[in-house]
Amino acid sequence: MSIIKLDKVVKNYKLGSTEVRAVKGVSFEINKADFISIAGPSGSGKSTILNMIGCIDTPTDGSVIINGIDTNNLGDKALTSLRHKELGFIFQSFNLIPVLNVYENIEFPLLLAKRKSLGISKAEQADWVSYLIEEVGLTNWKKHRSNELSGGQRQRVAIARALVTRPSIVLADEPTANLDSSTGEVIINLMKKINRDLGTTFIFSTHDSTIVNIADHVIRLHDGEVAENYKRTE
Amino acid sequence: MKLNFSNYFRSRKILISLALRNLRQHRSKSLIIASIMSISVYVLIVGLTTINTIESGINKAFIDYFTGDVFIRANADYKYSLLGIQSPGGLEDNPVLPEYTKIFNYIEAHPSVKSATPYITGAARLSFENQGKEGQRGGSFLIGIDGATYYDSFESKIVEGTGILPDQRGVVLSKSNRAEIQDYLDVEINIGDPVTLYGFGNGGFAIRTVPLVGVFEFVQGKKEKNYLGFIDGDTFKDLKGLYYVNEPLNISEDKIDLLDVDLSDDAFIDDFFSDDVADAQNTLDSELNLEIERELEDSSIVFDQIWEFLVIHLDDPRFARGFIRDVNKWLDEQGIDASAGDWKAAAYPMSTMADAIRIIFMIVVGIVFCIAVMIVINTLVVSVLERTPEIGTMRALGAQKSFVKRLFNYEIFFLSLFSGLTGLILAFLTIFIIRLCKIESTNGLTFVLYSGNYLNPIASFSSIFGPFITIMIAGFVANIYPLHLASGVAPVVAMREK
Ligand SMILES: Nc1ncnc2c1ncn2[C@@H]1O[C@H](COP(=O)(O)OP(=O)(O)OP(=O)(O)O)[C@@H](O)[C@H]1O
Ligand SMILES: [Mg+2]
Repeated sequence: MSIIKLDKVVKNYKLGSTEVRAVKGVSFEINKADFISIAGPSGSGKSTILNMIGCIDTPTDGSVIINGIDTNNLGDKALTSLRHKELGFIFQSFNLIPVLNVYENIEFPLLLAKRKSLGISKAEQADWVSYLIEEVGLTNWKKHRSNELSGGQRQRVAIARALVTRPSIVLADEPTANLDSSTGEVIINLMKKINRDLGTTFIFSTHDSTIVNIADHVIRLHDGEVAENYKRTE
Repeated sequence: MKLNFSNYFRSRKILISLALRNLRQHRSKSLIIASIMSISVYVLIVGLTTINTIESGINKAFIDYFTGDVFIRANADYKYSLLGIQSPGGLEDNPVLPEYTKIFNYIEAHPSVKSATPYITGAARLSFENQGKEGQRGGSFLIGIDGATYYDSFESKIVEGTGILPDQRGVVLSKSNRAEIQDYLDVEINIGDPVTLYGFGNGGFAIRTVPLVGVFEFVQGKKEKNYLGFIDGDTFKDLKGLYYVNEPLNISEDKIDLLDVDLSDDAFIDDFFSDDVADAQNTLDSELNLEIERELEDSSIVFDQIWEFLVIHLDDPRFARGFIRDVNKWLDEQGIDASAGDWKAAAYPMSTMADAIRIIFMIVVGIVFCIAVMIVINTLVVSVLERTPEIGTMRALGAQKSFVKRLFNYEIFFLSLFSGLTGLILAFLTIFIIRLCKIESTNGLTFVLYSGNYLNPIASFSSIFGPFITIMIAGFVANIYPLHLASGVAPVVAMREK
């Protein structure tokens, strides 16, 4: 069953008088609970596509359907709600909130919503945050601020934060680009483990071929078009 | 939609915590804004308090010593007060109050009135005869009073001799004025010494010699400088020639001719102040007066009725405004061409000194304030721009625009609150210390400006909370544009951070 569907998606950027055609009519579907890699060289449109799936950018043409909802029909408020409910983000530069410690950073998205709508009690919420902290291996770093953490540790916090609202999809744009390769691999494997444990759909972009191989569905882009789209079966 | 208070407090808790931590995180910018804001509050409070103190001092001094709470004067198409004509040309004399007796009787019977007394005011030259040297002095500002009622209205402040008794002719000079004259003439001037006064009014020049009956001092024991004098009303009426005012008098041609000729001759005026001529003029004047008085007996004017102002003290000065309204209504009904005004109008333009200071202060503060707001806006904009990726991240994670707005509003709220309180506390300390220091007034002027023997700043509710509320509002106003920028940050910028 497809959780994400892109239908002839086009994205043009206006750059002064010229128009950059970043994505040129891309269509594909992604299944729930898959671990997907969007691969391709620099400038091929990976980030642009992830942004549109993440509802933080809108297509010039075509449609992006998340959980059966056509995002073209939604305004800023509804898109923000959709992001909050259905999507988690892991950023290349980690993007932790500097004034919050590890625990608070992870808890932060929960505080943006009514607890009722989250359907959990205060105690359950605390347990859940602690579980995620344990899952990403930062139990001893709960009270530390992001500037006291290494890059790998920061990205672990970001992973836990992306999962805290129990989204169905987690998007990660080059999550390993700012990490050394061995740390990068550890991070991807951690994501893979959570993907298996929680059944969350993970979509990450990368141009690191060794990381691509961990994915079970690869969409390879070239110059704004899908060059390759294949699933791997173990 | 159901209200969910627990959620409201939940998001408020994280907002407050985030706001406070952000202020600390960006402490250099917070400090810039906080110092600008707290200095503004401090300067405003201390400035307004100082002005209030001066204003209440001037207010009290004028009301207590000179103007009373309310005064009544004739209507005129030029501006004048107890201090004289205020128009640039300023050549006209104060008009005479019409139907004085009727007004006085009405006012005296009014239940709100504590006391009332009439005035004639104006300048005159003083001269002390037979005392070597030239024997002359410059002008003095004289208040012609009614000895029968004046001292019921105003404290006498006499330090030597007496006040002006009813039906007595005489002059009371201020201590400083007498001291200066003594210094200048190098003589001693004692009670009982003759003072010759030269006036210029409706009838032309007039000269009167009356005794010095007393010396006064407004603020006893303090040095004060003024050229004030009190004179009995009748002598002042002579000097100002007030008989000529209301009705045409039938005075023999030759006497009037004589006066007219004298006046048109400038050369004569120079000689005029020599003692010989003064004596001659005195005789002339008394002849003239006799004739005038004879005429007056025939005419409807009663000599006692001629006054320029009626000065009134109320039982409760707070009701002055309503009292003035009542009196003006009555004057209108009676068809009397006169009107009542407050002490500010009575002592115009000197009474507006505090207003002038306040206006200048407000203009300066206004300009500085605008610059300060610009700096604050600029600092806030820079802060928003710096935090753009962070805002984008929060938006990407599901924070609504309203959340971002509330966060930035909380930040400016706490910053303004903190700065406002800091300025307020510092201002309070300053005022408190000034009070503790008991800065003593050394002269009459500072006695007035300090509102008493010691500098005693009066911190009013509005002079404290006005600046405080102003800074809170200014904070929100300064935040409008930065807030607009912040809530406009697109979530996609979270991705661009490298
Ligand atoms: N905001 C923008 N304005 C104009 N052009 C843009 C913008 N964002 C992306 N582009 C252009 O769109 C194309 C695709 O960019 P995109 O960032 O999606 O590529 P990418 O595959 O993520 O590259 P990289 O591996 O370097 O991150 C590029 O040519 C890029 O220059
Ligand atoms: Mg990219």
